[in-house]
Amino acid sequence: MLNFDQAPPRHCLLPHRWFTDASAYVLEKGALARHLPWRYAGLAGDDVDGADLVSLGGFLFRQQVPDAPPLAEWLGPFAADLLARATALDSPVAQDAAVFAANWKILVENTLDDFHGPTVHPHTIHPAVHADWRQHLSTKRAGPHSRSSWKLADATAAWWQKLVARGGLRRFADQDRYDHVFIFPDLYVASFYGTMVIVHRVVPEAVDRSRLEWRTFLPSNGLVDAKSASFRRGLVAMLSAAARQVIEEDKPLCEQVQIARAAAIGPGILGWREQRIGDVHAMLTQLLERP
Amino acid sequence: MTGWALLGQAGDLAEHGQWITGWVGTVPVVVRNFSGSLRGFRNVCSHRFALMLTEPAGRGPLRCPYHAWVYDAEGIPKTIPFNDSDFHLDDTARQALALPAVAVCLTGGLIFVNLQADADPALPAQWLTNGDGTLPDGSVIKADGTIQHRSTKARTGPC
Ligand code: FES
Ligand SMILES: [Fe+2]
Repeated sequence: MLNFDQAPPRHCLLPHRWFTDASAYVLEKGALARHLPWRYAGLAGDDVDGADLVSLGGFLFRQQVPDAPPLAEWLGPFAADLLARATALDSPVAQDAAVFAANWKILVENTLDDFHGPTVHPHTIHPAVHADWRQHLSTKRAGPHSRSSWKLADATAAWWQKLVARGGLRRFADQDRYDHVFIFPDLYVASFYGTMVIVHRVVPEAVDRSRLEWRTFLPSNGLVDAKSASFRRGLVAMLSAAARQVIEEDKPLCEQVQIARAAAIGPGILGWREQRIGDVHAMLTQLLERP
Repeated sequence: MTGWALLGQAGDLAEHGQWITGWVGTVPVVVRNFSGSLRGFRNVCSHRFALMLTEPAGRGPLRCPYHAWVYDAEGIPKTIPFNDSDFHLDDTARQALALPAVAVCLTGGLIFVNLQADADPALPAQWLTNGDGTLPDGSVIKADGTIQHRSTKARTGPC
C-alpha cells in the first residue's frame, strides 16, 4: 500500500482547534460517543461491564450505536490480528502509564508515524529494526484502522530467539518482526518476535492532557522450571524498562507539538509513512461533521 | 500580544549559526544568524507542527527534532530526510511549506521581533530613545543596556 515511487496523497488535517480548544474537546467527545460504532473498553477481567460489551479473544469492545456493523466487520482485517495477539493475554507481566501534556490525537499521530525511529529513538527502536526499512516495512490500512510491521534487525531477532529458548516463551506467530496494530481511536497493540505483546490505550483527560496506559504480556510455553522462571523475572524488568524508555522519548515531542501546533499557519503534510495518520483525521472529520 | 517585542541581546547572535528563541504571546519565534543576516520565523515546523528549537539560545541549524527537517535563510525546508521516497516535494512544494517570517530589528544591541513580517522597524529604536527602560511590550532594560526582564521569555496568553 505504500508506493514510494510516487508522491503520496495529500490529506486535509483537522484544524488546530480540535487540539487546543476546550469546547472542541467536548464536541469531539460527544461525537465519538454518539457516532462511533465500537470502542475499545478494556481486557477481559477488567472492571468493565454492560450488555453492550463484546469480547474478541479477550479484547473488549463496547457497541455504541444500535445500527453498528458486526464487530468483526468494523475491525476488518485487524480482527484476525487481534485474535492472534489475544492468545498472549493469559500472561500479563507488567503495566505502566504516563501522562502527556498533549491532546490524545497527538499521541495517536506519534504512534502512527512510522518513521521517527532514527530521530526520536536512535538508541532504542531504531537499531532494533532492520536498517533497510524501505524493503521491509509493510503497512496495511482499512478505514481508520491499520497495521505496520517492521523486520527486526538480524541481531535483535537472534536475541529474541535466545530469549524464547531460555525464558520458555510461547509465540503466537513464527515471525521476526515488530508490529503495531492500531484500532481507531485509542487502542494499539505492539508485538515483538511473535511473542511479547504490549497493549496500549490512549486515554483523553483534557484537551491538552492524555494518559497513555500500557500492559505487557509475555506468554510462556508452560514448561517453566525454577531457572527459566528466574530468567523471565529479570527479562520482564528489562523489557518493562525498555518500553518505558521508548515512551519517555516520545513524550517531549508530543508535548512540543501540543505547545506549537496552534501557532502554525500552514496545512502540514503527511508522507507515505504517515498515511495512517491521515486515515485517523479522515474518520474524525467524518464523525465530527455528523449532526 | 501584537507589535514589537524584545527577544534578546544581539551579542547572542553575533556569529553565523547562533539563534535565540522566545514567545510573542502564544507564538513561538526564533531568530537565527544566517551568514551575517538575521532572519526570524515562527518556531513551528511546517511538517507536523513540532516546536523546533526549545532552548532560549544556541548554535546550530534550524532543525526540527521530530523528523530532522532543516530550514534555510528563507525559511524553506532545504533538508527533508527521505524526501525522494516519502514526500516527493520539489522546489515549488518546498517553497509552499516555508516557515512564516517574522520581522527582526536590531537596535541598541537588542533584538526585537514582530509577527507582522512587514512591520515598521523604526519603532523599537524610538522606544529606546524615548523611554525610561520600561518598554511598551512590558520588557525592562537596565541603565547599562542589559535586559532585566523580557516579555518573550515564556508563553503567555490563553492555553
Ligand atoms: S514535525 Fe518537524 S520534521 Fe516532522
Ligand atoms: Fe515513538
